Amino acid sequence: MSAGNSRIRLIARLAVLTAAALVLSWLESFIPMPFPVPGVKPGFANIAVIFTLYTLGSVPALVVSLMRVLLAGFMFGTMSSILYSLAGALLSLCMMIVLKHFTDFGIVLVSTFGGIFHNMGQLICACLVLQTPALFYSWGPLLLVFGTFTGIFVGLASQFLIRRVGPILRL
Amino acid sequence: MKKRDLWIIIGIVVFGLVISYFSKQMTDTGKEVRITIDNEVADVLDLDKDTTKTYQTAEGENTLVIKDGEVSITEADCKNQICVNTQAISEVGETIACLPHKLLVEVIKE
Repeated sequence: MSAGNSRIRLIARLAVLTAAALVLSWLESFIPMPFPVPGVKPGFANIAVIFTLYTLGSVPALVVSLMRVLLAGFMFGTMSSILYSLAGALLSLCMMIVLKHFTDFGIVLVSTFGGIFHNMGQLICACLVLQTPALFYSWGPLLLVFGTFTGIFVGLASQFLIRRVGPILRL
Repeated sequence: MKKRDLWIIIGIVVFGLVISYFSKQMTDTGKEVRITIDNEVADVLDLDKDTTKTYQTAEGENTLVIKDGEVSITEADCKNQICVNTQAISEVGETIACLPHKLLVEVIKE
């Protein structure tokens, strides 16, 4: 395969995965969240990001994550929602990349930390924007618990997809 | 999933539940409510008096209700409605935030 050909393959794969992440963000917006905790979401879009991280690598995962945040933000969100998504998505992905490379944690555990740090990133961002560190104490513990559960779910879904669909993508 | 991974996850969940339980236990019922818009104190209300008040921010409106010693936001013209869905608060340090409007409701001691 020539070098140009493999670049085109990579671009096509990133486009497909970004589209998948966007659709997942969109689907998520229909799910009502009855929890009394602000901003808790299942984080389906992270399935596409984790899938990319484990099949294509760290840099492609960063590309998919950033594109997803920006495109979803422009389509369904506002400027402030982009800021919060960005803070959560970047911190979460950085932590997941570090854990994947430097520990032997499995996908589900890496994803669990991803879910936790997604919430923590958004919470830190809210503390900075509103200049109220008290937000961290009042919402931190609950967001930690919810981040853990959504992270486990996203991790199980990603693990299943990586096993079943991953090999097709590597062809 | 490895057995060790499962134990780490269980550990995190237990740790999270324990600290959320204790952070709830350690707080006191508040006396007043402070409303901050864009990092400036806009209003301080008594938590004992039932009131309904609408706040105008640069980005939109939020309607705040104090009833039975608890404060909640009942209406907001923002997109995400997170502040409206947040439970009523009454303990010191608890907050309701409307991030799109940069409006923050905090329960304070005095």
